[in-house]
Amino acid sequence: MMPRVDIHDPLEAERFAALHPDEYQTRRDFLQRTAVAAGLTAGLGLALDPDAVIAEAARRQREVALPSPRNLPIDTFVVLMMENRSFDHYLGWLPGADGRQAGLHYTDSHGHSYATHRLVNNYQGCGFLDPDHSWQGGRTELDGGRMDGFLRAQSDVFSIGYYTDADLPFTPHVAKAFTAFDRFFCSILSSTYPNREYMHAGQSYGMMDNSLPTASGGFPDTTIFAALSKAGVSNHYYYTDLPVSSFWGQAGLARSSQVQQYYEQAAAGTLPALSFVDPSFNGEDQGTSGDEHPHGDVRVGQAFISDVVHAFMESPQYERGALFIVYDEWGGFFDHVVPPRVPDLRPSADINKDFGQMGFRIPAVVVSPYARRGHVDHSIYGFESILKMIRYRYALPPLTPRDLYANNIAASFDFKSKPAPAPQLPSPPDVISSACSGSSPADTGGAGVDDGSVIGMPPGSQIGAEQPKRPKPHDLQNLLTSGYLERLGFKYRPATPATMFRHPSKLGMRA
Amino acid sequence: MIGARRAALLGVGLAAVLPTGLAGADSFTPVRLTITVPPVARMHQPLAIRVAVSTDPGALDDRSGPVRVRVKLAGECGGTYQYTSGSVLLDKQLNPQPSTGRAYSALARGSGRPTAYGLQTVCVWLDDAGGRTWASDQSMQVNVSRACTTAAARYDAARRRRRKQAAADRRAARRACGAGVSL
Repeated sequence: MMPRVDIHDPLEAERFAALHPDEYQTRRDFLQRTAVAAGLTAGLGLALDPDAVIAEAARRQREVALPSPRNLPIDTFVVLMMENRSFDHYLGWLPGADGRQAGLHYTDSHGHSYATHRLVNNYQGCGFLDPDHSWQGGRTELDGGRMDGFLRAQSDVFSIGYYTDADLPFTPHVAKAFTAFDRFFCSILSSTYPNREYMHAGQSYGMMDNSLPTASGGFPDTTIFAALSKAGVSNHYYYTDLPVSSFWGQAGLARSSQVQQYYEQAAAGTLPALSFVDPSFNGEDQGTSGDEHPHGDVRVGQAFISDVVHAFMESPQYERGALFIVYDEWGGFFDHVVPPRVPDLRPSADINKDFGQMGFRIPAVVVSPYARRGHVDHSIYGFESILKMIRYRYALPPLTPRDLYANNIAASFDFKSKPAPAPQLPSPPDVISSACSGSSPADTGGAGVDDGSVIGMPPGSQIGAEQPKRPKPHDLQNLLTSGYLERLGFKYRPATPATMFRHPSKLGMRA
Repeated sequence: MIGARRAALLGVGLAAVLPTGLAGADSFTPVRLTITVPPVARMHQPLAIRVAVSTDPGALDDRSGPVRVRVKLAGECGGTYQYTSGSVLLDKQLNPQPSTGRAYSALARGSGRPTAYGLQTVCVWLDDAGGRTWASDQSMQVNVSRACTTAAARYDAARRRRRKQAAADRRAARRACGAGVSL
């Protein structure tokens, strides 16, 4: 039984609207209809307190009416997760977004100050350190909210380099064409594995680093995939070379296929309700990885994103689909926005132990006929916000407190306007990539050090105290080298252009 | 184990919120913020805001210290209240505080003075004492209007002039009429 409430009283109406939105709407509609029937619309308006009129106007301004779950016109979700880039580093130039690139200065542990600099023709960062994006490194970079520790972690000046609109062949175009997010934080201030675990399951099972569940043979399958399967909703995971789904052991591998199947199903209109797509992770030090993680060539990753997005936009399922392009974490690259602490299964008042500490912002874009065009959304989101939208659509219970309390990213869509046809997006040109051959950045032939000065930086800027090192193995290479995949019976095949791309003939690689 | 007690407590809370079947028991938004603020504001003049907080049972409590509603009017909302530059519109503890296991609603009011013209975002956070954000909203904007500020200032001045004129006229009338005539 609903309480008796006079909705002409603004305070009562407001409280009632918050507690019982449907009933509030029903009563408002009833009053409006009654007023119209009696020819009293104008009179009713005059009778209302001016405060109530303002309150109503403000309420309407705010109202983001999501269709009910069943009426949400999205049946196909695709999540493409790339690697290791921050928002400012990749999209800091984006009009309408809160981005910063040129003119920032960071101090290293020796007190030397360095300016942020454009990465000119430097697509790999060969010879530079893979910027620190560990649990502890992230906290050093955060520096209690000062966001000034990017050169005091295990990183060098590569970490404060950035790309402009003109430097990347695909992401700028897709970000400008659809909705980009400038408050999308990676879920946890840590590295690849925990963040990918949050993307799949809204938690990292207490893991702070890239540790594999070797003893158990996989985490318990509390993923969004398992929840969908339980509800009878189709889902699948598509890998290129190394399956992240193997973190959940045999159950994860059972829902996994090579990415060529994604292209085929997209073309045939048979994609499941939820698809996660991952790029190739291995071959980073050969420059052939396709995930944009240093020291792979970002142009290879850009070509991969382009293929996955074009396959989606050309699919018959595009009309009722949404594809999210996200990055697993910030990769140690600079950003200027302090990430929030949010509810989590494993919170702690001590930031050094708090799993609720979100990581830095990442580039994130949604591709959909219902995505606002050329729009930047400023609401706070994380990977759990995508889980929440999927949960909402299929009426699933929350996985963890993360997705329970997260903002639903569905609020960024425009479900009121007519869906827009797919825009024209470029296909990146051929990529010729090569391995990082030596220890000096100059070996790349691109941007790097020149007589101690970093190209693209003010004259005299010295590279950090850390000497350039050979690329370290990719975080996910451990899946292979530890024997974990082998024990699960997974047969690893290195990625090749033929297994990565829709049209591999247009892409050349030099070993 | 890290945060085991807290995790257990949250687990209990989550169990209260988690639905057993379909969406019926889960509102998908366990903590709701309803913000009321005029869409247009005057520069340097009070801008009133009301934030209604309502929750599902067990979705919010004060175990991590008092829960506060914090609002700033800013060009850009940061990821947190503390690191957002802007005018404070509201920064108050909820009264009463939410208690374990119960549905909850409260209303907080405040006001602040805009310090910049143009479209500003109303940045709202519901934080506990540890700075953990339980809900946030960045969906509302206020136009701090130059035209409105100028017109309203002109109106204020005219009203003051009228008031002064009325007082002078009253004094003149009193002088002319004497004390026995009612004015």
